[in-house]
Formats: sequence, structure tokens, C-alpha cells
Amino acid sequence: MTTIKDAKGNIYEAQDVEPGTTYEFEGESYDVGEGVLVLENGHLLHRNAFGQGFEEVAE
Amino acid sequence: MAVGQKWLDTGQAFAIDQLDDNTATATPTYHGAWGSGSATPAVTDLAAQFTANPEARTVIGIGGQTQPAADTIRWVYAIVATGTRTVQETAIFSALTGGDPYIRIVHGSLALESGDQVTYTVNLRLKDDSEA
Repeated sequence: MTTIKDAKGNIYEAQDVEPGTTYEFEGESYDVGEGVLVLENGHLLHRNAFGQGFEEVAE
Repeated sequence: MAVGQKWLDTGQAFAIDQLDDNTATATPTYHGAWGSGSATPAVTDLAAQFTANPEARTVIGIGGQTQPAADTIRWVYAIVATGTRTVQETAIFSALTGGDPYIRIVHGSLALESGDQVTYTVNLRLKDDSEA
């Protein structure tokens, strides 16, 4: 489990997604690369987004 | 690079609400999203006309909002692909999930790989009828 904070201070719990997984989103299938998390709202977030509007919250 | 862009009816209504003390929101939030749709934007577009990719919308914080001119607001936000993606539209929404799009832009198709990033810069200028 990873805790993430966005630019407005909202906190999300996220889990790693196995690379190569097919992810279903709004009726469509998408591939998933390495370093990807799924947020509790069902959206995907790449770890490269840390520092680009999202930050990992230290335990 | 944009091939079509519209300040949507929902965005115009939001802006008027922000000018009205009866309806203004003290801390509005803006969320940048991207998608794969290529349909020409229309002012009547709603979320249904936006073909969202699965990446989380980026919350555009204070640092992502500037005024390059007194009559212009600029939003800057980045989105990172979580897999192989085709991206050709972006929108600024009122909420992290659901909500209304304020602006929708269709641009040239981008073929991205996981970890690739696009940084969008979106300007919105308010002008009166006498201005170009």
C-alpha cells in the first residue's frame, strides 16, 4: 500500500499493479506498464507522476 | 498543436458563478485529464463527449495557475502514461472524478509508451467585443 498526496493535499491509498496486466476502465481495456499504481478511485498513476502534481507520503 | 478547442458552456457558467458573490466558490479546483477522442469540440460538450484514458486526473494546484496577462489565466499540468496510450484530447474538469469539463481541446495524435509524460499549457483569455 502506498499513500499519495496531490497538489491540493488530498490523500489517496494506492496499490501496485502487476506490469503486463490488462486494466478495465470505463468499458475499455488498457495495458499497464511498470511502476504503476491504482488509486482508490480506480484511476491509474505512474510513479513518474511523483513531483508532477502527486507526491508519495512518507510512512 | 491544438486542432480544436472550446471553452465549454459549463465553463462559462462556472466563470459567471465565480463573479457572483451569491454563487462563488472560495477554493475552486481544476483537474487536468487526457483522452483518446478526436471528435471536434463543441461548446455543449459534457463529460460524455470526452473519451478518458485511465490515468488519474492531475489536480492543478496553486503553482499550476498563473496569469501571463491581466485578462488571461494559464493552467499547466502534466500527465504520465501508465501503459501504451494514444492521446489526442485534454480537458480541465471541475472534479477529480465525474464533474464537468470547463475546457476541451483536441490535438494531434500522440503515441505514448508507459512513463512518457505530456505537459499541457492551457490559456483562457477573457475579452470584450471590441478586442481581437
